[in-house]
Amino acid sequence: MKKITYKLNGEIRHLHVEPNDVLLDVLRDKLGIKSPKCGCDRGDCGACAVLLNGQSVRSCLILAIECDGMEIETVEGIGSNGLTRLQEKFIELNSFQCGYCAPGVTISATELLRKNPNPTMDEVKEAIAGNLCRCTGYTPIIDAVLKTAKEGDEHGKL
Amino acid sequence: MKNKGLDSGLPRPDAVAKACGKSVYLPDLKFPGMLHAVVVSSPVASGVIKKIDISEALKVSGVKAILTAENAGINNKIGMIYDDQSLLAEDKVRMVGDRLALIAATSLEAAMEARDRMVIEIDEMPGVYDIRTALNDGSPKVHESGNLFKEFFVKRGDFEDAVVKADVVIEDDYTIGGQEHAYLETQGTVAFPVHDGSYRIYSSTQCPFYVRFRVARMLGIPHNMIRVIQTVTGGAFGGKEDYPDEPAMCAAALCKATGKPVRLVLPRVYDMQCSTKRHSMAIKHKLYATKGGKILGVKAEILVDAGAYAGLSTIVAERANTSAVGPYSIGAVDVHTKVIYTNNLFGGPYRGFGAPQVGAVHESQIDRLAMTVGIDPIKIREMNGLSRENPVFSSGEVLPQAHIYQDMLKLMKEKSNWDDHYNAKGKVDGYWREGIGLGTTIYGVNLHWGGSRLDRGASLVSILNDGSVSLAVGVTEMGQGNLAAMRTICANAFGISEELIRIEEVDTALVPDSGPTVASRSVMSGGNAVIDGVKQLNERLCSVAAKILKVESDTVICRNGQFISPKTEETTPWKKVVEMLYLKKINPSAIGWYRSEDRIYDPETGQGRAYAFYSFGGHVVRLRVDTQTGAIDVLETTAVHDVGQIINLVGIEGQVQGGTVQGLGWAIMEDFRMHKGKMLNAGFTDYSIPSSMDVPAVMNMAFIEEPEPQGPFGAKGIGEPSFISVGAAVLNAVSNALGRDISVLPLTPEKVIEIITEKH
Repeated sequence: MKKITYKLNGEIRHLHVEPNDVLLDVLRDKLGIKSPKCGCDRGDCGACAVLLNGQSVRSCLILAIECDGMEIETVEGIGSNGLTRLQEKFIELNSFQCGYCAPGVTISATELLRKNPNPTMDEVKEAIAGNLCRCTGYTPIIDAVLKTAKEGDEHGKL
Repeated sequence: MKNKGLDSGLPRPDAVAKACGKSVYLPDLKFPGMLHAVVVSSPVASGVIKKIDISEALKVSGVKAILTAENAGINNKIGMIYDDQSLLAEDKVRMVGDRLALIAATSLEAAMEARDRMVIEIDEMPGVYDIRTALNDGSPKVHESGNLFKEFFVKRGDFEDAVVKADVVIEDDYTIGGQEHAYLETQGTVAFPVHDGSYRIYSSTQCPFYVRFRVARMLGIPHNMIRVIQTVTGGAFGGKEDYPDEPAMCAAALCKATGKPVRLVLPRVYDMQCSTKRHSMAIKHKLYATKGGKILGVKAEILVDAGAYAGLSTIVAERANTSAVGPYSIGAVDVHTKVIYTNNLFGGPYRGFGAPQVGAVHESQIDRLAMTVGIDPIKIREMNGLSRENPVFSSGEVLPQAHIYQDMLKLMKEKSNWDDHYNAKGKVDGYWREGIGLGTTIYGVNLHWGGSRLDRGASLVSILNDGSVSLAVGVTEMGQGNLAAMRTICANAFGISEELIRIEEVDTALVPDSGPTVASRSVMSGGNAVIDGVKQLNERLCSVAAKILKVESDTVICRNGQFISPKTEETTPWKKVVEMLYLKKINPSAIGWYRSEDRIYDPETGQGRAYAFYSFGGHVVRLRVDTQTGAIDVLETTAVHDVGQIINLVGIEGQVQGGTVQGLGWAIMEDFRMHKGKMLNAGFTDYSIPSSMDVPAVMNMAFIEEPEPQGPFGAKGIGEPSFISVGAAVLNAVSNALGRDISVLPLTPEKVIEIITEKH
């Protein structure tokens, strides 16, 4: 067991982890963060994506211990001040059906819009290419990201 | 004309929770003292069990129970319809993944360690892996009774006469691949022991009533000792029709043995290998036609690869059998469908239920006829398709809405700019060849005659003291938008705002057995049950409102939350009427019920009323093929669907977009790589499903909204038709691009290159 520290959704959290604990399991089982989902457990599906120091990663492929001292953001944190514009668009455009991919998609799309406030359709497709969705055919997800970007104002895109 | 639904534009009831990552799926459940389960399964597809030694595994710290067929103390025969399957293998294994033992431990790690310490010896035996030779003399037998499990037929008209009169015969032997559902949430369940000896089962399932029945039967206890609660279900597509019962039975057996809550979530690779799949089929199809392009007769032999156990394969085969001719009115039909045991993957329900496989074939065949006699593919479908003049389906039924097929063809032609693109066929751009193709289907909405005893639906509609409404239904939400559709139907039936209604997830303790949520029947069966419940309550409400308005009760109606007497034009609000309902102690709840009409059908000839009613669907796909690499790039899709009254427009569009992309995956990307019953590419690393990069640039949709008298407010179903004809359209488009006959799906790059390099 090693004691480590995360800044998780803005809060400092101290915890003990084993060297082989996986970040996804630690978030879900030790820290009560349930939005990242396990869809494949080997980095193929993107349902477990979180932002690590602002960059999206597959939390099923990362050891918890590697993230000591880092900032982790999940959908719980992204939506902590009410719905973001992106989430509003997801809701408005029926972007999710079963919803299991939604947290991962939200992470990837949020990262994109923070880094590139005016993405093209191809850039949106590329940004979520690692997030598998079996229900929607992706179109209503892509449309929501583009619409969020288009309707953003001086207060930001998100 | 802009399509419009009956909904008020509110987001679906689960939209906010899903967008915020707050929905609670099965793997999110945790209970104090909960144990974690793993399945110990067979690595080979055919063999005799020599030894299962659990003694070392039991020594692992944290292990609470290890169950085998010997010590489980359950009713081990668990087949869905036929008793050919065991929860725990007894003497033989018949598929990769057959369960040898179940382990429950205080942690998943401990359970996995115990699994590694099990001593298993299986003598591998020759297996059956090729469906075309499975019925040969000398083929190994999967079960003692032989490999031919069940047969279905359609026999219609004077077939010999059609053979004699035909100028043209179009014939081929097709190989149509299966498909993995690839729901993002794998199968999972929690079995929870209740203090009175009953069990609560949480399940990611389409059919909680199936789970209840099979868990109760396995434990040998009455159905009322099992309560099944459906958790938010992360996709299903047929894969969570009957299969979820198996993990539920595993967890329940362990729960019984340990007295603790037990969670079993299948790992992705195991789930892909072992859970049910779309059936692979081998289909011989023969068209007899005049040189003018009129089809006189169809003969088809359909071999359905069921895998090692019947599961629901017979039910899927029944639909394939009835669908084999397609949406055409043909005088002579001879279809013979055989359900065959093999040691391959476990065949089962998947969106379309056998119709996509036979659809790819009948649509390829009619295109080949069109080419042979020199008629445009749409024109030849107009000539042979169901119509007002020729409304007789291959079941012998006269279809009252047969003309919609012709309307659909017109729309497909117009929306896809068919004439422009078809005339430019084979367009060359470097190595690329462009092509266009179409596929059409007729889909029996609801269950086939063979399963029609399950064709029922229930609702529980309760008006609460404050005027809000609590709605429970027996059909499930698995992502398709059922909660939204039921809420909209309820609001419209009452004449109140959708905001007054809250809808529950399915709980078997709340509503009567509603049958399965399959066959695109949730709107029809659930919706009709909701309307029935509301109707009962409306009678009570209107009699109360009439007293307030001092008019006759049968003249009062409710619109926009106001009860109105059309005579006096006086109104009284919903809330006031509800208050009075409670003051007068009138029952504020009703169980709504729906049952389909009894139908007559002859399984020996396939003649009679196979389905309650039908819908039509069609896709046009325009694509280009890279003749160097075999890659296919889909440029444009056009989907036209006959949906009746639209309940929720964004919901229906979502089904069509999702169904189209899933269909493209099946037709182009998704291929089982098999070796002796083992799926070599289990997992998303090697079994690729469409990503955002595979979405066509243009996806057109159009809907025909002629109301169906049997549907709620005239609605039909869309879940499966949205998928069915995609594969056919892809097959025909690639054939069009390359100028070759094609008799195989999926068209992976390797297959395309094989087709291109094949000698003629």
